[in-house]
Amino acid sequence: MVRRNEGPKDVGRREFLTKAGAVLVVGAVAGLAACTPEKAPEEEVQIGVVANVIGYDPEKCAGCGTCGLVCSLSRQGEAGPALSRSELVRDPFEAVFSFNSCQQCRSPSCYYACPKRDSALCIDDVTGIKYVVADKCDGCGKCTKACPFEPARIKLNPVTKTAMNCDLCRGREAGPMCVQYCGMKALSITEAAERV
Amino acid sequence: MANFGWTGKILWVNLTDRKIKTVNTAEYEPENYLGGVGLNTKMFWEMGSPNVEAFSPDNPLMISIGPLTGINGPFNRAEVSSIAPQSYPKELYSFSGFGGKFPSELKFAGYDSIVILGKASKPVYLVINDDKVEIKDAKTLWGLDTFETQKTILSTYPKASSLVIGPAGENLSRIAIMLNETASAAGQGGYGAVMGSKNLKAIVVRGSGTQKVANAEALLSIIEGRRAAGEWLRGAAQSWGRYPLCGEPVYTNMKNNYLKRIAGCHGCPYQCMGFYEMPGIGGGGQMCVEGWYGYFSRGSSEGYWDGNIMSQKLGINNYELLAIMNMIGQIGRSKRSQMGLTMIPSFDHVGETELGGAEVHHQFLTELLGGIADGTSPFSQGLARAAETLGATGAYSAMSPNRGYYQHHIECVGSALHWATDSRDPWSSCHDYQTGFGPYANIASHFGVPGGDWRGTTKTNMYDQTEKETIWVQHNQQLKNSLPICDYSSAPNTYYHPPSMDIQIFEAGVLSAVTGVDYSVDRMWQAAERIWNLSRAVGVLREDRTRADDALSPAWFQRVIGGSESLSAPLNKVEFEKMLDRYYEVRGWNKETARPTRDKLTSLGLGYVADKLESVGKIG
Repeated sequence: MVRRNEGPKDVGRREFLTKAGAVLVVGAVAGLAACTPEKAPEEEVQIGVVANVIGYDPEKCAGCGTCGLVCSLSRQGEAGPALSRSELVRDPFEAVFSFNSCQQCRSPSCYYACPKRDSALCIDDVTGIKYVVADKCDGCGKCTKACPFEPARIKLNPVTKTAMNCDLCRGREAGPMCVQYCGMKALSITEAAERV
Repeated sequence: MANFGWTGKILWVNLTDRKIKTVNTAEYEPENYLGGVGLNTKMFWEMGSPNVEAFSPDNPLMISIGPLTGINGPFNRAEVSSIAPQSYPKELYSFSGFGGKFPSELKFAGYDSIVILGKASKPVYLVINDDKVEIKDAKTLWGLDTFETQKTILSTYPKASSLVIGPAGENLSRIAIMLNETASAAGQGGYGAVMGSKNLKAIVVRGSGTQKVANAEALLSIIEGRRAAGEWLRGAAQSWGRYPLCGEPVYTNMKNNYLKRIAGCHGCPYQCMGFYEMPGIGGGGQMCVEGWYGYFSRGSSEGYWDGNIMSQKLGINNYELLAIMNMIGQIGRSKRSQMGLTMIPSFDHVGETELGGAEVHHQFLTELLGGIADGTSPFSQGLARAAETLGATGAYSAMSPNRGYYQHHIECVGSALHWATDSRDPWSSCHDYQTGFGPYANIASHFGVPGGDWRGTTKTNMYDQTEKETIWVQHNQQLKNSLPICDYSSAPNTYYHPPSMDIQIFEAGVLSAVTGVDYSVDRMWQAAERIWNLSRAVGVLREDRTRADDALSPAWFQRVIGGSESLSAPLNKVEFEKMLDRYYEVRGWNKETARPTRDKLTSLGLGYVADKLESVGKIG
């Protein structure tokens, strides 16, 4: 487990990441404005593996919302956009759609804001994916408030009141459900290497 | 009642006294009647199958989704049931389905059905936001077209989905639709006019809940099986719906130059529609039926698209318009002025070119569709009534007698029997014959019915045991309208890969996984038979339905009608009547009266229906 609260000078952690490969050392970078947490202390800038994210092609999307239904069904056991980790925004009269999911920020405000980080909100050592351990989460909502995106890409499950974000179906052998089930092939995995 | 699949609540709205209540779905035994048409018909029966007119405030307008609505797959449909203004000469109890986003949103709001009764004193719209339900003043919406109405609503309720009527519904056109988004309509039946008669412009729904599933793991396993088999990617539906079915040059021009997106219903893997956008005309969805404008616009893509957008905005049934165009073609020369048309492009030899076509057709469409929407055209009353008004019944032979729906084509003997015995046009189920049993005798054999009778030419005796094929399709139809599942994705050939996961096994598996109720194929199929019998009982009780009503237009026994997808020879009247006898025998109905017997009704748990029919002397 990455000990993020120890800051960038944590040599032990750097060594670990070196062994894990794909090390990226990121400064308090300009050009990541959208992902730069205002509230995070400067010394807490993330150094770690850059995670993949769900890529979205609005030209291919039919706006059907299968993504949200398979997400909620597979992760929460019931179907509905309210329990989906991603959000599809539709304009059915222009046939213009957009797709919001966790951007797996390199400097993750949510993670810094979490009082129980590395227990409730964690970062996968190997993939760099930020994920929530629901039964450790107290539902304080600080992660949601800290998210620099509007709407927030990490949200509270309206039923369990615990946080949830797109963790790319971490641990699922076939990869993210939404990518696999998107009949239009509008969703894909954007590799870390392709991320700006 | 199961805690999964159904929400357990029916929203009951009386527009006259503005009273709103919820009723427990369990009162209507959803495990036995499922949802959609089954639940609607059970409710209608319990109301006493009221013998009211379509535009009476006492005509209940019921909109039901089903236990499968809300999960990913081709299940996000709803069924409207009510007395149908379009039926002719009697207004019959009937139904019409639609997809889009509205059905699943209703599930997420927590309702299995909406029942609308009464009539508002002035135009209103209904807003459902989970438990909060309001009747609002529709002064600013009345008169707007279907697109403007929805856009206006979206500006106040940005995440809601709406079911609306256009001017055609407001003006009580008997071929008015209820529309969700740009192309998901409840068309046949004329239920848009029932909304209009109640002064109800729109139903707006927003839900923050979910579809509860009893066994998500089992459901995901079944769904993954379909996905892995590639079933959901090879659907013929996509080729029917995405691109205009009207030949060249419109097909290629539209596909290459004006297709903006593929589109479809919520959560469906097929996405069988196309969303087109053309400068000066605008954007919207289209499916197979809209292709007719392409035929009539004589090569003009603009004419084609203009027609589709205009009719969707005005809220007119495109399927009936196809038949109306046919009639104009038959009698247009002599009855032009009576039709309210100053010019008919195909007769007046204008519109042959792409550019000229657009202008000419715009004028023609404005006269025709505008007249339907404002009630001045005889066609606003539907084709059957227009034929009477125009004195043209003789020219119009392919109409189903006693129901008044146009028989575009009948593609096999089994389908002909289906037409004779349904409560409306059964075309939304005739794909079962067209793409399933008709051409594929092996698939028919798999389900234990005869088949391979496509166009009636490939069997030595095309009537032999064909009643079994029809009964199978009618039961499949009840399930598609009650689970619900889309017609495009429930034909017997659709899930035939592999045969061990055929449509029946697939549906029963999904239904069991979602509801937690153990549905064998037999139990599910019996529910379908129960719904079919209850529907017939409504017809018998309310409409005095008898064998004489189970008829086709005489023309089908006299000549070949309908082109390359229709029967290649006239039907044999003697053989047809013998087949009808056998149909009633297999159904367990009295073959003299075409009414269900007590034994049959009791075996389906419909003893209470038998009691009622017996009390009024109408038991079979």
